[in-house]
Amino acid sequence: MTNLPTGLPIDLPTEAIGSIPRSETLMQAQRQYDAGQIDAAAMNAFYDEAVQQTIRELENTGSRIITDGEQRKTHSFATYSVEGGKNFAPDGLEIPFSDGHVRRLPRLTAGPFRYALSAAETLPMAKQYTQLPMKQAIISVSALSLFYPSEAIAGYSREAFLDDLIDEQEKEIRGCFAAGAQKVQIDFTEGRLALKLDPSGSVLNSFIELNNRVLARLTDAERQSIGIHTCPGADHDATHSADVDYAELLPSLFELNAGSFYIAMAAEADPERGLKIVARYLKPWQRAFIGVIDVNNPDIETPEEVCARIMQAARYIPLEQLGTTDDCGFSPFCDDISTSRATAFAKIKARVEGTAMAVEQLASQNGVLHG
Amino acid sequence: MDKAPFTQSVAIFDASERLVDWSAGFGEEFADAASILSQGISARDIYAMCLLPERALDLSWASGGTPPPVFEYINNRRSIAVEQHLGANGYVFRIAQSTQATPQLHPSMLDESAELLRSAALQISAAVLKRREQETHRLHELALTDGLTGIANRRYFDELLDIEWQRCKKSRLPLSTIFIDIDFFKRYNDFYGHLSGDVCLKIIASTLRANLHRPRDLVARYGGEEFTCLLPETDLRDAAHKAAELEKAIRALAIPHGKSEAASIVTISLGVSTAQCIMGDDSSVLIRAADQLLYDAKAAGRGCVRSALCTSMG
Repeated sequence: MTNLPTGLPIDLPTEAIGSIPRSETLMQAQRQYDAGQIDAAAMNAFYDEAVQQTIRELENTGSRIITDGEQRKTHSFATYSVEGGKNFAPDGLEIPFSDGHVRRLPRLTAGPFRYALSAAETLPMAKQYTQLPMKQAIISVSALSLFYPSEAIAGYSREAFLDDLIDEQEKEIRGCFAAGAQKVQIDFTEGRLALKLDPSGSVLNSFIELNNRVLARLTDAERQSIGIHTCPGADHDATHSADVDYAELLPSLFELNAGSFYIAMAAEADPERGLKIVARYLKPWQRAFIGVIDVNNPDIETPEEVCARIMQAARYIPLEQLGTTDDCGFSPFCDDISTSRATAFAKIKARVEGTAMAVEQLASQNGVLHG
Repeated sequence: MDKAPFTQSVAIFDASERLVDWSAGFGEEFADAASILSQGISARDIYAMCLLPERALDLSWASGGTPPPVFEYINNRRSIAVEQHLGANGYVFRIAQSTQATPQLHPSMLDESAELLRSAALQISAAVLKRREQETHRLHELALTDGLTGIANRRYFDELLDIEWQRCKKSRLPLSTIFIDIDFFKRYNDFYGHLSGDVCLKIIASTLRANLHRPRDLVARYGGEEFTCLLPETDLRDAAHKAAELEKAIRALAIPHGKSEAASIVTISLGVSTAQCIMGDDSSVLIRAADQLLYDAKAAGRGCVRSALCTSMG
């Protein structure tokens, strides 16, 4: 579907999801900090060094918009915002992965729910090291909602908790924009998991409604600068919900009132079918960033392979609604060393170059050079 | 994008998984394949045309003879439950229906922690729905409530009048309404100021409400200083009695009114109209009659009640 009017320049935006594997130095420092062997100031120095280094390497990939590699997201993309909170215990719900390992969420023990660490506070610490526009990834309210235990908390109802959650998330998003984020990405990996837990779709629809309640508080322009990331989870090269069909997820996913969607596709068993589903349900004002990098596969894609994946996507999705991304972050959890930093940067570089290559090919098909 | 919803879809396939017969609902369920639906087409070909999960139309179990348990899948954002049976000569009967039934846990996650996770997610889902209902209720209340006095607004009164009119008509019950106007309220506002005027309106509204005790009775703010009461199942005698009570209750407040020609305190005038045996569908006749009686009360010197049966129906 290369359906731009002839003569118009082609712009295919390409963005990473966010996380870059931590260096051994940073992981060692985190372990020492967790064990009480170094203090917060020392730990912060390690974070700062890691962010600087990561930004430098991301700039070298040719990316036009970058993240801080989520180096400051302490232990994981899902829990960073509440770590250290006094009203949390470590024995929350477990998320099972396909290879049998589990990740445990923290458990809220009392109200009120408040963020202990805000991405809006860490973003400026990264921005000082780059002139490039930055994207900030945050965890969705629906993922955070799973911190509330099965047994109700006395004096703090689920409804009151959800109200607090929505207030906190609104503050977080506004804070990220105020701190200079060009885009804010909401990690919604539990969307696909929701269908696995409840095949009727009611949990998924409630999760979408919960996120939409936050988005409803923003302006149209802000919503257009917000992206939703969905994937089947990626941890130690395993997933939690890859067997959930996109035909069941995507029609509901695009009901989220956001401008961009980052959709894992490179590792899908039948990407062509996935692309057809995206094309059918994507709304005219939404852009689909299609995953062209399989983050669980150690082989580094060539730019040609990336380009081929984009050309396939372009057959179904209008170019003005198409972008490219990685299937997921490279290391959403701090101790995931299944992918090396070098591999992650090489894959990102391949995505950037493959996207540029696709732009050239699409432009020549369309009778113009890219603008 | 939304297709016409179907409630049930039925199809019969032969032992070779070829379509024998199907209902209109099946055509809607597999709408992408509508153009190729015909006798003899294979289930695999139907599925291949559709952007649906594979299990939606997987008859491979039939060769083994044991149908799978009922399962659910999502079709264009609707939850579909599928039940299959094996009949004589290897025929497969497939019945699907839209459902909101309790979902089954995904088979690959049948363990205790997955059950806990699902339970937590379902409870969050229920909380989201509860909040939505509360919000809907709040918005509904806002739309039907007078912002200053907190009692019902004219819109709510009009809606309820129509409902009660039909109910009382059907049950051959009387229906009464009282129209109320604060005497010389413009002068009160001019003399004491609009803020005092607002306070006066609030006190009168709450007093009127406090004096209506039956669940079906309603007091509403009809306009600036006009109020109205709806009294279902109330005849003229009882309605006039209630009006007199209201007049006395406002007088008892003894709110000073230095510019009233009726008294030195705030008073109200009231018009009471009763439809004893309702005919026709035009409830506005009751309003017009009560309004006319209110004018009669004003003409009689204010601070009093005038009442009559409504005789101009149909």
